[in-house]
Amino acid sequence: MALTITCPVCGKRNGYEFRYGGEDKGPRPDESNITPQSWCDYVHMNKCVAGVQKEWWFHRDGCGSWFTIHRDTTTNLEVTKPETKLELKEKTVEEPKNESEKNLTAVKAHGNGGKNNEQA
Amino acid sequence: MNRLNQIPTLKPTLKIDPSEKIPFQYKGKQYFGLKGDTIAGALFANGIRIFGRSLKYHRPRGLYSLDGECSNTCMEVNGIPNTRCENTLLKTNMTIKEQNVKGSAEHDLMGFMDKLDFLMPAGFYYKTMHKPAKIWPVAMKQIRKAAGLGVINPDFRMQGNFDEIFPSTDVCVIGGGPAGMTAALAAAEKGLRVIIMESRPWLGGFFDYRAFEYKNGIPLYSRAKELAAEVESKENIRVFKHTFMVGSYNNNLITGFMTGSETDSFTERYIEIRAKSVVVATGCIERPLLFDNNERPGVMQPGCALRLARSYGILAGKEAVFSIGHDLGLEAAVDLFDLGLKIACVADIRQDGQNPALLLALEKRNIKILKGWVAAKAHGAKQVKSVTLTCLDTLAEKTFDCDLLAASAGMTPVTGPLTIVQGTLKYDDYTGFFLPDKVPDKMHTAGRIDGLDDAVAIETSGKIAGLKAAFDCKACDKKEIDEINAKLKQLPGKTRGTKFVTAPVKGRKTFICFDEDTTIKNIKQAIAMGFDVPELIKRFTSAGTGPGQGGVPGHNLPLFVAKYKAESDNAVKPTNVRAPLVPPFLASFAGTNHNMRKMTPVDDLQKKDGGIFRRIGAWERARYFSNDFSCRQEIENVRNNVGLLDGSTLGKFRIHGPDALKALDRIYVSDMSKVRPGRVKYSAMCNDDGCVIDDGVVIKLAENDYYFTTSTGRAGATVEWFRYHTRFDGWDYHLVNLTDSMGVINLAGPKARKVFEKITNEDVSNEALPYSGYKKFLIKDTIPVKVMRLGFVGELSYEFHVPSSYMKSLWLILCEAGEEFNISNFGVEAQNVLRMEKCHVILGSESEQRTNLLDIGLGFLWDRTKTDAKTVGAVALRQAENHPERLKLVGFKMENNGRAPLDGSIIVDKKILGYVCTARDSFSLNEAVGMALVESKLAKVGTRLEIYEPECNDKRIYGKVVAVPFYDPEGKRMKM
Repeated sequence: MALTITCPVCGKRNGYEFRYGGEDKGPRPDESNITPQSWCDYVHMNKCVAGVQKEWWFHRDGCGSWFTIHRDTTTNLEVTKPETKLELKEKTVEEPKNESEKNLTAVKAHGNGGKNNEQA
Repeated sequence: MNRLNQIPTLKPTLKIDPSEKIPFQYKGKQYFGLKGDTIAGALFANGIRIFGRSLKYHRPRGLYSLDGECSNTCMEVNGIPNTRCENTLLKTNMTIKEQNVKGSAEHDLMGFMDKLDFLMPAGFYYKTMHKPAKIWPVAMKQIRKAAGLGVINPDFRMQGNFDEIFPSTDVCVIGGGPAGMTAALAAAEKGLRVIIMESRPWLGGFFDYRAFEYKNGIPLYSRAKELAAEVESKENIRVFKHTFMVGSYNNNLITGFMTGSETDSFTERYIEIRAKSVVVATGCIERPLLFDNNERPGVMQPGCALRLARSYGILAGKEAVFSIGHDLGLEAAVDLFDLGLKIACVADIRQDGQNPALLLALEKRNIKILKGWVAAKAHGAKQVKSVTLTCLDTLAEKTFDCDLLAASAGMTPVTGPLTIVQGTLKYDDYTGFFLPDKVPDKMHTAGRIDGLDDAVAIETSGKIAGLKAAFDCKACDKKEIDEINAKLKQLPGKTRGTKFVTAPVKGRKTFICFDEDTTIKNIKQAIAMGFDVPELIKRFTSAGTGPGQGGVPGHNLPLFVAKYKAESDNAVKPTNVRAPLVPPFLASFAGTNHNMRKMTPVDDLQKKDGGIFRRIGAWERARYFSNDFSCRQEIENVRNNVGLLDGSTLGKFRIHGPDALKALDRIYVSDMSKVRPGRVKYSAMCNDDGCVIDDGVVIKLAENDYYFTTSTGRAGATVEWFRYHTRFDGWDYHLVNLTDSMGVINLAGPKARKVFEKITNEDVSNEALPYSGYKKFLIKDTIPVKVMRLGFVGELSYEFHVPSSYMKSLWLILCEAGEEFNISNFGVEAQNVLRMEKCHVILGSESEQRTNLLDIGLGFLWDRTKTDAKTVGAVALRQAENHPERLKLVGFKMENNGRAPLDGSIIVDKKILGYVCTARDSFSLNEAVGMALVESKLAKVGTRLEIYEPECNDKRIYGKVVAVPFYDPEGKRMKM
């Protein structure tokens, strides 16, 4: 409700004028080598980031263009310099480096960290 | 009642026009108020003292604050219950009724409830009446009767116009008092656009009704007028008066409701303001003083008594006692004395710290002041007759006769606008206030909300806030703000305030919350039960949950709890408030006229012919042309002669540019390079799941220049859809929505060509314009038409696409030419039956969200070879192609010449196997036929379908899957 969006053509406008077009997932994948699973992931699966995400908007009641903005989903506000924010985040939360470490973080999050720590 | 309108010193502050009387009805009798009166003021002026009865105990309630902070003066006005009479201006012939009474407010048969309070301790509602469980159904009925104040008639329909506006501005100032006005002026002087909102119908705030000196002998009210005039004269300040701010959100979004005056076009208007910066200058309200019977009619806040006199010319009583805790109370006593009120005594909670000038003024007028005294009990059954004062030190008592007790303990800042947007408050021991602590970004406070009391300091703080807002808009530099900040430091700062809440009484009849009848005793009970935080006590005792939104108990509750529990001052925690801060009408939330619709260019011609219109999406379309909703005549005329249908609601688009064909190939499932000049191509669009979303025809106007139609419902989303699915490609094409600029007439029936031949010299024979053909020419040398030969209804038919401005002319030309062939209208329902007999699908009727292109038998449209086009839906279609468990569209007939089932009936054995899409008794075939989506195992011709209609009482009807189409299976008629 309190969202404003900066359209590349019309400038900063009331969020009511726009339609949300989903997270940015890149161009349509090539049609060879597509499995039902990978296609479903492309069409329907979202990252649902709590933080800054790149996303598509359509200026429905305006110029009619599709464009991307960066929005912080926790404050529902458009952010102008997403890079700086992301950097900050990386400093505070260390990203897991490989697959096994990823699993470990997941386990830790569920409160069984101690035991798995020894194995690692 | 006589008003004080003759006193010359009162004239400058009066808001009423004594020359204009306004009649209104109260309890069936006619009374008169004056122009400018609020409902509450007009009733009070007519001698009405008891406005209603309280929620639980049915205690008499009267005028208390004049700003709508409690439900005391909520009444039923023109059938609308819970109208806040203190904030609603009187309008001619209003009908006013009291609420929550059996009998009358004066003599309420439920008055005995007041003696039963011992049966209703804090939380009794949660603890009783549910054990044993059997008594709850009985108790529930009684409780439902007792709950709530006003009663709404179920047949009541809200009258009036409810509007909405969405302005954006540089600076939004909440509060039109001295701080708000100076802030607005400071920002406006920097060339910014400013909106100022004020809840009263005039600007001025708390300067407006005060005769105290501002400076150099000018009274405060003159200063208020001066500021107001300046604000109103500024072109870049938009003033919203009588506007209640109800919500603030992040990104500086402010919402409010503006009350319409009698000359406004709206009753109430929703306002949503986007501002770059916000100034909150909401000021203070008075903090109630608690003692026994502290809400008896006749007890009111000193500010209320003063405003009644100063703004409305009403003296609130003959003889008054004041029990106050701040200088504004002393000031009110002095001013009201000068206006003719007898004052028996002024009791001040404070031992010292009063403004010496005011003490001198009291002395001059021989008004007795008792320092360190407070009202302990108001006497009188329905109205105050006398009051007992008590000394806080010695507990000595004195009783005075009076009919007005002006009582308040102190002031309390209105912090709602800050806290609902996550601003935090901090208890300040010096002022006794919750002062703004962490204010959201680009939000500034000014004036009394910051604890200031000196008039010049208030204005200076307003100016600073205005400049800070300008700084947010990059229209002011820091230096200028610092300069004025230094000035503010020279001026008197925060004023010491009392933290006193309640007189030394037991509190059985001492009400901390008027709306919910919560007493001090209730609060003590809740604390004894272990509810230790004000927020929890609020929930348990419901104090502050009434329509006043905590205006009365909001500040007192935390102060009382802290004191009662002997907590240190920094533990005083405020309770929360939530939007809407003031109760607006639901009708205002619903907003403006919702029946916005589009009409086709031949709307009136069809109405003249008896068309019965129905809403279809954004449009209004002729569904029937007689009261026979089976449309037999319309259908038979199309089958035998010729009919005329307005198809203007179809989506119509032109796409052109170097990459137009690529875009079409992306969106349509067919190979669009095969669209030939002079021919019409039918095709469909899918979504990424392969589910069919739209169908229509495409014609080629020139190289990379196409014209296509979409269904009515999809027209609005088509441009968005094309651009979305090509957004990564950077293709160069233009897509123009011609839906409203082009009209469509469908001429259908075996005699259609005869009609067509009469109006043109062009060769329209079956050879020159065959089925699926397309031609473009002028009719009568003037009207440019695109003619397509289509067969949606299964007969020879032409679709004329003409500019909207020519629609009426062509329509009339066709009607005239067709007269000898019995041409007549057919509506959407007739078309629905006609196309169903041909098994032509309507997406949405024969498909739903999950239905893909293959399910409804349109797989032939799909070109599997164009993988490079990355056609939307192709991937999913390929994956679904061999899926065995999908629904299939089939045609069916009813057994034993039975009637058609209702659309949407389910097809069952022991579980649901599908549903009926469209089914009708067909006149052309003389039997009932329909289409259904069924599980593939039922799709074979000859399968029996068991149909379960809604509310059929388990009586099934049966149909049989048959070959399609039903009518003219060879398709000869549309190709003739």
